Amino acid sequence: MFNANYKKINNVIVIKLEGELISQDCKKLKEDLQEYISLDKYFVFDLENLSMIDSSGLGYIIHTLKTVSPQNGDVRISNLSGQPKVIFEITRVDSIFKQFDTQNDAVQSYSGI
Amino acid sequence: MKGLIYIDEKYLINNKFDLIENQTLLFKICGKNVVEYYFDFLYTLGVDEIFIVGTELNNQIVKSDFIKHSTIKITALPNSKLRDCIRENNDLFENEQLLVIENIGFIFDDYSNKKSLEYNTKVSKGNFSIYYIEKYTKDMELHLFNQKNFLKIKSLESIKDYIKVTNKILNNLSKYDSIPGYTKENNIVIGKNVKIDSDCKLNAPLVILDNVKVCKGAILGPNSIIGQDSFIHENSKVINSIVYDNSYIGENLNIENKIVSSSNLIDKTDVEVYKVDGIFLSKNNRWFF
Repeated sequence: MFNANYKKINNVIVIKLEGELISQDCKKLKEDLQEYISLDKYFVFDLENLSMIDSSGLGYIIHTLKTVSPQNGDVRISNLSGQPKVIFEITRVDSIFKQFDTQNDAVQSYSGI
Repeated sequence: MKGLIYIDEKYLINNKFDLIENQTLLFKICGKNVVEYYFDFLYTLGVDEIFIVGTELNNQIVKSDFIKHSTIKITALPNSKLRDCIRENNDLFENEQLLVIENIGFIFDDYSNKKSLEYNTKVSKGNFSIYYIEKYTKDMELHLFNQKNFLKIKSLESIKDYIKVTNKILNNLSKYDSIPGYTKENNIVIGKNVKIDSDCKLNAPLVILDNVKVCKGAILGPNSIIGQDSFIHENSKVINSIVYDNSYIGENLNIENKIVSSSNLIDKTDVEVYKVDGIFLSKNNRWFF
């Protein structure tokens, strides 16, 4: 079972992903994302409750970064652990994203921008 | 000399290694089944007949590839506990020299060192024991034998034990003639029909088993074992890791301190198991060349 919760803190969109992010969920996520990307360019993915991610899920997170980067936006990650952490490490995607231990730290990292 | 292999049923049924291999005795260490190491050991020490205790055990052993080429006589005995088995088959063992292997473990020593065998002794580590009986007589009690360290052994009761054994082998590669390989220079062992593309880097100690394909830009080792029939795609790194037989490692991956078996990724540090998408790594028999 997968769930994505969106909220805005200051000028940052926080997307909390829960459950298993696998291929069948990604199409809807990308559609939902369009709504936010048109207005905002700073994102935090909070992965505290994300138990599993596959190649499509990883592709969705990278797609978000690729979309906001040309506008000088960014995507940052908080609470990376478990299987998603292993996937980020083996694919070396962990070197692309700034990572934080808490959602708050990730959001605060954008202050002053 | 006669050999006897006994594995308590609970180790065959309660398989600690099923993440790696479905059947207990068929899991491999550096490309060879555990039981194949037992056969090497017994054969080198002059055993001319091996008794296997139990149908389940015998069934697993006869499925092994190496058994087809073995010239040693193999006899299956009915299921029973070790001591009961020896007692019940007194007529087979009376006055014979006996080497008994009990349960699952690895023998590190040079097998040809017959001087290490001593009168009626055992060596035990955990649940793994080897007994040497110079001349078996009726009602001899194995558990009363003196414990001597005439062999270096390790019990295999968990994935952590498996990791320790492979680390020890990798750190002493030149000592082990029993590791299968075609070339063994500079602590890099390579098997038959291995294809390695340009720009690959191989760092010792490293074992690459038969029929492995390594694509360009890959970095293998140090401290790694690449299992038979595996495929390592371009620009991937495999360091301090074991890639089990028949695995596919995708492009641009960084596999460090892991065991890869099918789509299971086991972290060597904490022995956590992770399921990984087949696009990254999987069990597959396809060849790309």
